[in-house]
Amino acid sequence: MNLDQNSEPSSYEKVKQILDKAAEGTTADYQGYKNFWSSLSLDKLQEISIYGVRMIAPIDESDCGDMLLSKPPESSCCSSHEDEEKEDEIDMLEKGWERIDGLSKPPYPGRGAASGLIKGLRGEFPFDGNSFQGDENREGHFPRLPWGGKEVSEKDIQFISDWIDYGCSPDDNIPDRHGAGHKGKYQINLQLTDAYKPRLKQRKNLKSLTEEEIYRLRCATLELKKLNKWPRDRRSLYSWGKLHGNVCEHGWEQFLTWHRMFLYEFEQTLQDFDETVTLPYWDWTDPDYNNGAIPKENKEFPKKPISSIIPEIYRCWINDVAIENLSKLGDEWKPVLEKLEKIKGIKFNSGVELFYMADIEGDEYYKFSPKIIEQLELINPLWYPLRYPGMFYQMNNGKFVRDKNGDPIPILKNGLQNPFHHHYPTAEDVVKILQVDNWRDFAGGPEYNQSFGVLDMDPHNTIHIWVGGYNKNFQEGNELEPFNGDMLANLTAGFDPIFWPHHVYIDRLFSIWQRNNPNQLPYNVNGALAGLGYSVRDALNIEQLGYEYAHAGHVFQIEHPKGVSVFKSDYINFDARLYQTQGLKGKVELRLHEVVQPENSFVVRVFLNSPDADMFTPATEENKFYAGCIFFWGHGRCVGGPGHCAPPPENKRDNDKRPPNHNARRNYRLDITEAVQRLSQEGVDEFQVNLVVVGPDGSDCENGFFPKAIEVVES
Amino acid sequence: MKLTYKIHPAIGIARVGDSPDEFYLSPESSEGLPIACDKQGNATLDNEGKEVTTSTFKDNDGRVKRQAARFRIYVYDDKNPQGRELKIGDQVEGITSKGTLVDIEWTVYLANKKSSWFEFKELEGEHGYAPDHPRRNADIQGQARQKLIIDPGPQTVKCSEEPRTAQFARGENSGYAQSFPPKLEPYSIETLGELKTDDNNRLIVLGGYGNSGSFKNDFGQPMISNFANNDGWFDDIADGPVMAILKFWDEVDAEMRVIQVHDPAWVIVGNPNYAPQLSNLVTLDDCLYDLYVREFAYDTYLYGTGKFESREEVDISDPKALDLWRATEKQWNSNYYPMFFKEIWPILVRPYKMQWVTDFLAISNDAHEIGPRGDFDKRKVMLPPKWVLLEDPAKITELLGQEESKLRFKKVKDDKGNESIYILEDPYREIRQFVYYALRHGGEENDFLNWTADPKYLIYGKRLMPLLCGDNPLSNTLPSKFFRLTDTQLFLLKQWADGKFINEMEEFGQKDLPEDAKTTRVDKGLEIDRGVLANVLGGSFCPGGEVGWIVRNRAIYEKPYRIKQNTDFVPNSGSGRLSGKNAFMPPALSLDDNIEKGLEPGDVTKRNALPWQADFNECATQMIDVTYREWNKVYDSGNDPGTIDRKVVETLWWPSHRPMQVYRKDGDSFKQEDWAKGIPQTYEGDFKMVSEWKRLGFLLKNGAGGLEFTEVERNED
Repeated sequence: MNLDQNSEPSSYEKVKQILDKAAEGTTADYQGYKNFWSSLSLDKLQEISIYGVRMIAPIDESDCGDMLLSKPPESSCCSSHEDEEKEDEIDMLEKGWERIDGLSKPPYPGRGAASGLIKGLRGEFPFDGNSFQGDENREGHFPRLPWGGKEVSEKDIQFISDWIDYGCSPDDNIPDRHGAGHKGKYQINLQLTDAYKPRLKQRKNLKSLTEEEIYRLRCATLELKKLNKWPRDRRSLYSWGKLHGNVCEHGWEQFLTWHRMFLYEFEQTLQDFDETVTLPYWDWTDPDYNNGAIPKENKEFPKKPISSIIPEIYRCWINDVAIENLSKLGDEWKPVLEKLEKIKGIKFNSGVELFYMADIEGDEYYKFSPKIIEQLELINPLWYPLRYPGMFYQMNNGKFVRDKNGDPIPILKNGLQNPFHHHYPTAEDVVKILQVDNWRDFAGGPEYNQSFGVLDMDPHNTIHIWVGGYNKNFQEGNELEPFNGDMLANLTAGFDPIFWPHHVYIDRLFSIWQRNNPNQLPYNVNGALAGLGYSVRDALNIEQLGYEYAHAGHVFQIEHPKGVSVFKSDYINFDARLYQTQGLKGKVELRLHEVVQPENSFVVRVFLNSPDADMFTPATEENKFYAGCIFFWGHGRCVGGPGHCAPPPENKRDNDKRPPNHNARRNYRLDITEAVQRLSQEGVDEFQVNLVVVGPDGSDCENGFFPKAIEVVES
Repeated sequence: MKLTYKIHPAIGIARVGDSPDEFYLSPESSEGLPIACDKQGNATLDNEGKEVTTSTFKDNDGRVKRQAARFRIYVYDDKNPQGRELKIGDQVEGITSKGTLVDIEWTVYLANKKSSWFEFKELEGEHGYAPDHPRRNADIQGQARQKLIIDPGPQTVKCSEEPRTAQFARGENSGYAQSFPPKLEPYSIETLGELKTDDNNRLIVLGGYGNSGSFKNDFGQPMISNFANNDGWFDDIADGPVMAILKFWDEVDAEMRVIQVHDPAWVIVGNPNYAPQLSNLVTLDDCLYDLYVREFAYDTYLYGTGKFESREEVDISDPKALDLWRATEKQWNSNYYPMFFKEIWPILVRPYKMQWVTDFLAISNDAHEIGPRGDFDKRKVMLPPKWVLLEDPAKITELLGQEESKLRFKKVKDDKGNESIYILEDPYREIRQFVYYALRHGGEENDFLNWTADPKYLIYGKRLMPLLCGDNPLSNTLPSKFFRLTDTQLFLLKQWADGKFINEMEEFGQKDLPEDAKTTRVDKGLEIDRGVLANVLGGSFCPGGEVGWIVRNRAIYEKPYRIKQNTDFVPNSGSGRLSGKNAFMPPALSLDDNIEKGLEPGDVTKRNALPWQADFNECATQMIDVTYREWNKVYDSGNDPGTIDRKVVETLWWPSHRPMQVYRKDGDSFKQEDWAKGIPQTYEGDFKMVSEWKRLGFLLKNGAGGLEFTEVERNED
């Protein structure tokens, strides 16, 4: 081996070292190849089978549907299509895909795990000869690899497996999965992988998404973005934008219902790629977004980065991988890369802001920005270049008024960089809008008397305009530098990924209003929703569509053979501001999922932050920790023949349309907002839920209460 | 992992003997000697605490010792995925309760239904008897037929409470309406066996004393007139379910609770094994493994629906899943590489060892020889093909010139780009192919000579192997004249012949492999299950030895190795409360089969020969008609053109089960003599065997006189 002593050995060398060390002193023949990992060339190693087992799995050629989870991007099965001119762009996208930020997704995920070598080192089938389990299965076939040698540590096996996932490169160093910043593996055990899944999917506030959820949203979005290569593929991000531009319903009673189904279909498409993904909502009234205003002390804007007015996960930033990719483009890039290096990691509201702060302006900007923008899109597929939030400039005769440096002059008002020409919607506004009590004024007028509803007109339209903004680098005839952002105009808004969280929030407000005004319907509930294949009626109930809105949800799966008599949840952190706000007040609900119908009646008392609660803990209003109670009406002794009260099957037959069996498991819900609010007023920011099960006579009650899961939902 | 309690072995084998109180324990490994024990069944231990085997098969008065079947309970849970033996004082888990194990109640129900069953007529009945198929003792009609069943009733023994013994004997089951035959000649039957528990809470099951006799007393009786069916006769062979109930103290409820084991067992009583260290060509372990592989998805890496890259999981406890698997097209995994010493060599070496129980050298001329010049030269047949680096790559041209058609080579580049050449070395392929092509395959059961091998092999037109009797060499109805290996064995040998096998010594560095046969580990439950079965005859079945063709019927199994019990005949733990435990009151034993519900006591052995000694004696050699299919051309006397002579071939049955010729001490040396000298293969001889089996010698691997196996303990009057 020609190893330069001063340099770090390549991953391939490390793989060989690990295996050589484990096999030291062994005499295994491996069908004559001896220590095949060292004796064969890398090409041969990738082809070799030992005793019928392929040591390195072949590259998976499975179909496109699997793209997100196991598909290597190079070998697309749907590649024989038109639009070859877009090839270059896509290639760039796909190469970058290997190295998005710290997320670092390998090109052949799962290839290592499917390889005989890895299975053998781990002692997995068919190398499970040493790990015989009981007598249900036959003893495994081969012993663990290396035969006769030492067991390899899981960390080293994972290293080899990663090396295979990254394409068995002869000289590269693969990223270290145990290093800092890595978040990219699906197996990470986070909340969303909880075994119990409530029936409704939750659309959450994008602020409360976990790292895993954000990662999955990005991956799924990128999958749709990759389909832009085929504009006729209706799943592509491009097609969704086009559909919105073509048939978007505004200014009359179908506004909310049409968009609800539009979101629904888009979300379903994302779920085709990853069924855990739901669309998050962006609550732009949240004080975290500064009411869209740039703070007073930053008169220099955009000379200094402004505070967050766009949610962090939708912003842009530069990273090492991007700088490395760009460095391969030639020496002329050196000065630009030095500039980028200085702003690395800072998350900007827009590309304009990023380039301004990096001092990449003028000719330099026009020359280098397209390639940099490609990288920014790869780093965060949720960012969009044609988005200039909060940026508006003085105009004269359709042209920017410029200062002596040639920069457009921002509109200022009260010492602030005014977001735009009128009022940015606030939390108080939203409360008032929700007080409107009829469909026409809230959601829009019927076809014979069309008019905008307030939700449509003000917060919806204004946020569109505010997010779109003006482009200070506008260049006549340059498609990459239009006059305004895509969100600003109806025909282009759907191309910007931030379109979705904005509209999801509108849909959330719509659903809250519907709950408060259950009798309000549009004039024509049978009207068709253009371009979507649904009628208005289909869009009226979000639960029927399989989702709900929640700020955050916490599921506790219950597995207890003897029944729950006392229950303590983990501590749940909550945002006390949600319950103090001038705007929409938070709501907390306790849910008991799929509880077995009890034979005897009992009561479940609910307390907060009372870990020692028992049947003697006062369940009255004097106890500020008391949150309420749920009554269970027992079915009593069976009055029928054998089987009459037997537990019904878990799943009904498909054609069984009867109402639920009298012993079917039931769901219960209890609003515990008041108790949480009391806690929040004392400055508490975490709570625990305590349940105490008590018989009707006040005695304790065992073996009666069998829920499948307990859930706390903040909404 | 779901907590389960299982009894091992799943199927235990006891054997009859005429010694009134001496016995040993069943061997638990292939070709193992039985385990020595005391009167309560406690295994004798050496200084290291290991169980000691015995090579003394008779007591001081020359009477054959009985073999006891020993059963133990294993617990499988997360802590013990491989299982461990359960002990009194362990924590056990019952139905919504747990506590400390205080006692194990073992219940066994032995019965003998032979006299009441259908007449054995070769393969008739394997797929259900015709309604008019004759019954044994057909002259006994109606209610009286129930008396043809020997039914001592169930017996229970405890481990912590005396008496730790119980008898399946006449008058030993108060309150139970037993059924025993009347006085018989030459030997009456007073018991089917007994139960004991040893000091480690294991169950010891003993069978009968080998008594057989007839109740007919007119002139000429008792008389044997058929190898399998003799009206008036009874023997004391038996079989039945084995169930254990765990009794534990639940501290929380301060109450005694019970739980039955999840996987109960079965016990079968058979004839003595006169050559315990010599396997049959196909053992019951081979036979059942083949069945479970093909019908119970037992090893889907070997045989499955073709997804061999990952483990094919089939939940065989789900009947629909199993049915679906059975209905799906399946195949043998062409990339299955059998282990030579574990899976191949035992099959190859068994015929060679038959020389110690039959004079086969007289007819075979070095065939099966495992040393130099033999067909089975071990040093050659154990070597798989191998890729060998050619030191001088230039030499390849020369090599290709020499034997261009056979050489297989690969060009390989190393990391520096240098090319090297590997050639495939497989000098012994021809030997392996020769052995494989000599074998009789499925569909060739009635063929004597080999017309399917490639004519270039010497084996073409020669006798197909093995040359042993099949399931029906007797009649031409449902004939199956010759024996063959199981489908699984044939597939494994095919892989071996093609060079797809692993030499464990070379690859896994296993240095201490036994010279022959399988390893003898017996610490895991499955190994006990299989080790016990490896000492039982696995074919052919006409009707067989300890068991008959019913064991090939998948319907009698709950799952691999577990016979489906008719739960009416075993106790159960009911609700788990001692008070709620259902009273155990089994119904009358049935005169018919009810396989769907499960097997009853006596249902395995009722299909065997009656008395066992008749068939045992006669299944020595058989004249097999190999020209029967040419009946219209056969003229025994004529030399007319177009006719052929009738041809019969004297064929062995199963020499290791029923030895033919053995090396017997003759002064200072040994001579090969008929093992059952003086007992002819006639009905008179069969009758003689009813008494003489006790005098016959055992075969022991003792190396006496330079011979591997010699006869010991023959009673010389």
